[in-house]
Amino acid sequence: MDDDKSSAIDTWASWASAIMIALSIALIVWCSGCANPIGDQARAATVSAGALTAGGDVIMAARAASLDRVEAQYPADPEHDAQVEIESARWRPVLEALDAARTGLLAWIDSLDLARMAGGGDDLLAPIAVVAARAVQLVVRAFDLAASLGVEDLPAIPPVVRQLADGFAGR
Amino acid sequence: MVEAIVVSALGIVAAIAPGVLAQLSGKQSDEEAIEAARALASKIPDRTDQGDADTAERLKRG
Repeated sequence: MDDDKSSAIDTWASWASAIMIALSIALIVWCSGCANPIGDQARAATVSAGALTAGGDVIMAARAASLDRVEAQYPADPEHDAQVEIESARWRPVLEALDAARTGLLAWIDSLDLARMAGGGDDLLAPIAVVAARAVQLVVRAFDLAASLGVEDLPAIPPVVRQLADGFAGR
Repeated sequence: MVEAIVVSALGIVAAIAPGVLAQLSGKQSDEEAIEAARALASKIPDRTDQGDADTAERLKRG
């Protein structure tokens, strides 16, 4: 009975994630036809920030579950504290990668704002393309690192976001 | 895990919905699009601090 309920919740969660990603892709595809580089990049940054938020929540939940298992296995000191610290250290690079990705995203957004205030010419957008590509890459790398620790159900970075970053990088 | 996915999914939809509606009505400017991105990115918590706090709590109760 509990398994049925859990399965139903899992299915519902999968559908919710699928709908979220579909909405994000639709938003970016639709806005890509607007021929508005700064607005397009800002919306791509919004979707990337959403993916980073969702992915970070999934990663923190997986980390907590992993530490819960360690605590259950080693309930008493001195093993408890030693094992908790070892497990925490194992996850730390992933958390630092998430923070680096957030910093990259904010740098991208700040660059877009500066370009907007300066008139948004192509000469300004070219260097921002590098910042955009780097920010998206940092998000992808953080998720890849988490996946290497066995984290599943991470949100996909919409291909159109990657293409936007790559496309601008080519200018 | 499931709760985290669902909450995140709903959060993202809620976050981008105003932008979608503004775009549909043709009213979202570059400035508004940038502010929407900044508002969402600024809400992302510092995960290292979050992890350190969680570890400290576990060590304290251990």
